[in-house]
Amino acid sequence: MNLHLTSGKAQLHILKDITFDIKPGEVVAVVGPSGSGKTSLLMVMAGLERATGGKVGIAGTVLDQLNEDQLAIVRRKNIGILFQNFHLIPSMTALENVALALEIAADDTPIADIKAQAAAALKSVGLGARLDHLPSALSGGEQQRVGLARAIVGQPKLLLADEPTGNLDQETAATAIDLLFSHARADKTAMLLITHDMALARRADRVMRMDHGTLQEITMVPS
Amino acid sequence: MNRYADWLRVALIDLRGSTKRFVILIACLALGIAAIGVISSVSSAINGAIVRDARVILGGDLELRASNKDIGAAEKEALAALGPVSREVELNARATKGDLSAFLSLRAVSGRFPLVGSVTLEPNGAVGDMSQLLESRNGVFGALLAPQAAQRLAVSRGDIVRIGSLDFELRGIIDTVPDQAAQGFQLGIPAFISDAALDASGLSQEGALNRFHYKVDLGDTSFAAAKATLDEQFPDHEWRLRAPRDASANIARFLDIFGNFLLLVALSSLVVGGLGISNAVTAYVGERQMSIATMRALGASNHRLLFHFVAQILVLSMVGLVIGLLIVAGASLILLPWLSGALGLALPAGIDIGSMLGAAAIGLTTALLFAWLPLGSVQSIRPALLFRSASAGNSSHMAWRDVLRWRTGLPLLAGLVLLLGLTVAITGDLVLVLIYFVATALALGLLRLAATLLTALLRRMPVSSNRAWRFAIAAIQRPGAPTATVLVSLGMGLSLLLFIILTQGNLTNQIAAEVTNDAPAFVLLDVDKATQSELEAMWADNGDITALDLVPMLRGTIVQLNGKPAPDPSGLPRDVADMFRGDTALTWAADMPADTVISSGDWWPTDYSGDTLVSLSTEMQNDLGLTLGDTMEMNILGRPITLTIASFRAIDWRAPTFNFRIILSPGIIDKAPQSYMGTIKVAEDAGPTVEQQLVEAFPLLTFIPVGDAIARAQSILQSLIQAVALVSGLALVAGVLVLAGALSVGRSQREADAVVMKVLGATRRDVISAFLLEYLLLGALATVLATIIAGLGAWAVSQFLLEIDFAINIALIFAVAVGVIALTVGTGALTTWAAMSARPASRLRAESQ
Repeated sequence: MNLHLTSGKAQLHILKDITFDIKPGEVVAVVGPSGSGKTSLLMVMAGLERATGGKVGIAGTVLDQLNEDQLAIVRRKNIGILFQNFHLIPSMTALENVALALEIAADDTPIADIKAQAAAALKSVGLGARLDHLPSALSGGEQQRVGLARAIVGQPKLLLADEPTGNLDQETAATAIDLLFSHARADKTAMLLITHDMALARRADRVMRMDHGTLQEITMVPS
Repeated sequence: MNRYADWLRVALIDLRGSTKRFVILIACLALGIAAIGVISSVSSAINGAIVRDARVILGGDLELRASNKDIGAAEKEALAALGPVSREVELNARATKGDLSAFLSLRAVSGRFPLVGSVTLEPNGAVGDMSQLLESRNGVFGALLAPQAAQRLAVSRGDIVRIGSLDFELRGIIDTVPDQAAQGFQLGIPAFISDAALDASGLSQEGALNRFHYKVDLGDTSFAAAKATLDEQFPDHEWRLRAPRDASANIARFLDIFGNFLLLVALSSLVVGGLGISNAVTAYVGERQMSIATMRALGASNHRLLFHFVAQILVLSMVGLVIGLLIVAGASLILLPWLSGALGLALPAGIDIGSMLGAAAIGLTTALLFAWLPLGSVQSIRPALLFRSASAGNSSHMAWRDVLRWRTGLPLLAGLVLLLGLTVAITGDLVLVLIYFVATALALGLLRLAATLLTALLRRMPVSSNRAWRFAIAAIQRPGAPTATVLVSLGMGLSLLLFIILTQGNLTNQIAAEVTNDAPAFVLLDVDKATQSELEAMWADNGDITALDLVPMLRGTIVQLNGKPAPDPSGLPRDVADMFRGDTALTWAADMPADTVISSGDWWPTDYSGDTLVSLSTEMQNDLGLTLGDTMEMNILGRPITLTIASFRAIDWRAPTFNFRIILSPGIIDKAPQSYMGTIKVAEDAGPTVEQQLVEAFPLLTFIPVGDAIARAQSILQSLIQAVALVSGLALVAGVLVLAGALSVGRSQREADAVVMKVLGATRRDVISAFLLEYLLLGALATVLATIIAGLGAWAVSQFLLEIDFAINIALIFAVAVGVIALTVGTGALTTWAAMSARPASRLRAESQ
């Protein structure tokens, strides 16, 4: 795939001739310096940005020709996204934020079941006692765990995590990553993990390096 | 000072790039100021003209008015001793030219008329000597007609017209008459002849409805002294005296009522606009939270922050103010000359600085008042916000207890008091303004309470199985949701629109011809006994005339009530006060008139011939404290008659029949000289034929085509309707702006939430459905409440201020409300659709930075 973005009057070639795939259950880490195009790669894969050239397929569905609503449907069925800045809805409680993902995805699931699943997801990330708290009452780490619960509650086929520990301290980051990997492994979810933490990258099955818009697989030296 | 100058400079730099979001704020302020300024400026010009030209309006320093009977020689001598006197006899008459006729309000004037000012003619200008212009030349007297009469008769200068039984030469077309404004509403078209011509024309008959006016130039003698002299010389007089202030009082009073009503409409548009200002400032502060937190982190004090944002709002308000004042100036220059012609007052085009300053002060005070609370919330934004994510939400809400603190509450209270004071200064009516402010506060409170109750109710409702409905309800009752702001803005904006529609509708209905199918075609005045017999004979022979109804009419003076002198009219309610200023109309009847409603007492037998009884209206019963059996002494044609009250009647003055407050029993009064008034009903489409027959058979008969009279009243009131429409138009635009602005409340957060939902897989339809349901629910509640608020407001204004009938067209109100809400919500939905159609990537990137 290729991606060009316009910044002011200049057109920037962000992603250059990138070709790769992720198998079900596989964890791929993408590392690289800031501005190399890692987040743009994630956005294209999530259907949040449209590639200017090439093909993107998720779980057998090619995204290129789909309109916005069709992309949304693909996302709700197949993809979970974990953001660096959490992007929780500030006026919703932790439970409501997680339940929102299920409510969007499922038309006819009774609300009681939705809430039960959301509560279970929050319990699984250690927030069973904070269901009714607004994001303003949660720490950064707790907000990230709510984000994680929201990303995995629908059992997506692909999990996209953009610098999930970028705003966390070391200890909290470690907890969050353990949870992320354990859920991904347990549900056999493919995961693309954007990070510049090399220690974190080593835990992946494959490591790719993004540099000036190009992607190459690299071999990590054991620590 | 340098410090504040620096702070101001920084504030203005910070405003760069933000001015587009304040378009609604500036527009709301400009419209409100324009509406108030225009009304205030025009009212000020009119009142100034009335005061300045009071003597001209009256036509002298003193006016003596006698009805039906002229004053005697002794009285005339007494007036002449006071100063130069002009005499005029006012009556209704019909002018004819061939088959054409016109009903006139005729004034037969003496040589000195007008004592003050000049009559001007088209196109020649001022008339130097009226007596010369109207004198008999070659055996033909002169007449002046208003343009409408000349058009109706298809005559021009030099042509001959017949008035009464005399031919007149048309010597000029009237342009302006100095005392025309004091004439009030006239049934006929203005016209002038000389008093010598009146005597020759046969129009002046005893018992006829002639009104004799004597105007005196008192020189250095005061009105009070002149009145005292006349009262001393003629203690039993039946005339009425007026000073210049009295002549203009009626005009001033009527214009005051109307002007105050229009000012209230204009003030309402400013109050509603204030909500728009509040919403705009709230949204602005919400979006500037990070900047505010940064300034705090850099050490800015509360004082500095408040100055920063207050200065910005002040600068923006000044832009709105300048635009508003420019509209006032332009509108005044156009409106005043137009109104001058419509009202018969000299209103030179000009700009009233006082009114503009008043409007500016009210506008600025309103802007700051409504911006104060959202600006005050700046103080609650902490630097800690910089260290929290966007997911933590905003922290700029002000708690209720903060409002009550002196730093916030005191300026708010001071602003309210100032606004109250300024409004009282402009209207001159403290009670009206207080009622208005209380009513507005109640309306705001009602809407706010409704929002709280709605939120509480929705929280307690069972969760719906429908996803869009769940999202909509969650959006309404979620903590921090702008439900209250949206409901108050929607409700007040819609209330203003509905209030204007209701009031304008009631005004229009009032002046619309309420002539029912049963209404007469002609009203007859001053019919003498001989003509009465001839009319009855005509009716018997003329198949086109379906009914002829004549009642006798006399005039008398109420001298005593229960043996005590008649009360001073100045202390009486307006309803009956006029009955005690000079003489009043009365009639007699053997049989009880049809459709009479006796509220107490009994009607006398048909063949009753005992002591004279009287049946009075219930207004007289209530306002004078009269009961059955009380006595009333009246002076009728110089003879005192004692009457005993036998019954009271409830009169429907709007019924298409003649009604009299005083009806006497027969026996004595039926033998007195009297004239008759009545009505003629005709077969369908026979009006013009019968009119022609009446003109030919009874050249001296005064009769009014009912449709014509209503048309004349309508044309006067139509001018007022247009004035209402102008101010209402400005208010309507303000209302629509606030409705549009209601959607901007919380828009930023709503769009951010929509992006997250889109990331999670929500389609545009999912988001829009929830949005539509949310706003339809709020809109439906706003519609119900606005209908109640607007209905109550329009009722109160109709009943107590304008004194017109009130009616409510529910279907129309509903249609308007639904249409406005649908338009507003639809526009919001389209905007959200557009936002949802864009890629979320750029927004996500921006929030990550």
